[in-house]
Amino acid sequence: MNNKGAVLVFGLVIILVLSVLASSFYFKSINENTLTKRYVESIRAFWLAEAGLARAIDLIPAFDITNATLLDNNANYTYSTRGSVETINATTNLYTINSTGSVRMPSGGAVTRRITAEAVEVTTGPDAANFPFAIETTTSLDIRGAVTINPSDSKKEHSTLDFAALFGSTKSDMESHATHVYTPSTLGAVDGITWVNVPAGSTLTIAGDLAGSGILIISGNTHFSGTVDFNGIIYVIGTLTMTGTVTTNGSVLAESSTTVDTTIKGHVTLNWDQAQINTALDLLSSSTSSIVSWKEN
Amino acid sequence: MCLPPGSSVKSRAFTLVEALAGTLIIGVVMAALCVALTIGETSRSISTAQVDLQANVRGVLDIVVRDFRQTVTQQIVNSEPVPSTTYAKFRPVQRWNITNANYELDANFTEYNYSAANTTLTRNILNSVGVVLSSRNFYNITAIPFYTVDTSDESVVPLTKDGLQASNGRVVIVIAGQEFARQGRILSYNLTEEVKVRNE
Repeated sequence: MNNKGAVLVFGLVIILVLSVLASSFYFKSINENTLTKRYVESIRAFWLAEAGLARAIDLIPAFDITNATLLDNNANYTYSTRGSVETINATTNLYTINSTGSVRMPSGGAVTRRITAEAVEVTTGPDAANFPFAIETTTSLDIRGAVTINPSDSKKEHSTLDFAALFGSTKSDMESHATHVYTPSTLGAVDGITWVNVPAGSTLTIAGDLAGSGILIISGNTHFSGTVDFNGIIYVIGTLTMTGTVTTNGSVLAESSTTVDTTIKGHVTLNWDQAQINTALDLLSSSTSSIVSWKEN
Repeated sequence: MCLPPGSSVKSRAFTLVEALAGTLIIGVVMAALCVALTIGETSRSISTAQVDLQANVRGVLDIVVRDFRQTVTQQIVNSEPVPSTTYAKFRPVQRWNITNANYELDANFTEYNYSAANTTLTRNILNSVGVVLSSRNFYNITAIPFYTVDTSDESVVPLTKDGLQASNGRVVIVIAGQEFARQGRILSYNLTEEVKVRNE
């Protein structure tokens, strides 16, 4: 009797059993590996969605939240935001932001997580009602000659002017955030927020032409003897004298006496202009956005 | 085989000694194979149980974290019964009510209740009067799950109403799972995650 074939059969059976065990373990491991990767990518997708939300909040109000899709620089890891904005009142908007984080899997398909948050944007800034006059001084207002003030009663003397209350920031803060900071010798373009420091005992004399807009703050005595054409708010920390051809649309304030004299020379027109005051104060307004509700879909 | 002319071969059977020796060798080989296969199968079984346990713990933690993250801190703080290491109840946020400047909350409560005796964490959905609308049990959870953070030294402390209030909504969730494998082996695995409740 020849028994040699039994070894082959026996070996094949053993190999078969081992193969079944090995393949079972292999597929189990592959499955677990896939589950683990999916879990990791799910967490990644969640934080991508959070990143999209954070970026959208950061970009408010410049970000057109209703139309934009934000993507990071890796095609496999993306976030997109969609949303809507509801105007609550003049200073408050409510944004609803849907942010979706997505991770593309190598095997195809994608893992996504989606969150929905609402953010309130509040715009704060000085109140235009703080500037109700075309000209306002803390001491006497000396008007000589034919001065045009529009409206005619838009003037006030012996006021109490509190710089911080008017502008919502201190003088030093205002100077540090000014668009331009000049001395009389370096005076240049006047737009945005312009701060001029006049040495003690000196007077800033504008004998030539000055056209400007925004907020002009002059720390020191000032004399407009030339042609001044300004839209916005002029605030003088010192005495103000206007003898030139001066036209202002907005509001002029002085923390001291003001002399407006058209008998000497020129023509002074001071128009109280709400729109120009608002435009000037927009330079000081700021908006803050904060999340008020958050949920995961 | 080529034999010389005139020669002959006498065919004979295995001797008893040869047969016994062969049987012994085959027996030893079979026994060794059985032991190897048993060890392999046991190892595979334990590994499978271990990965199952890990997947289950991750799944439970994910569910709990999602629930806590999207509620309001005050919802947990002011719940009745009060929050503890084994209990929490809250309502998810739906949206912000801009008119009233407060949250619009889901009508139903999410409730977590841990039973150390049963090693079970139960997630109930309750309606406004406390009737259980749905329930889900997570079994073989072997440790109390809810903690918060003591902000004075950033240490993890048991969840209390005042502790959660002081930490401004930081909940530390511990899911410690257990699974029984072959040969009476007990596998354990736990995950911890700190959650900041997103609505304050």
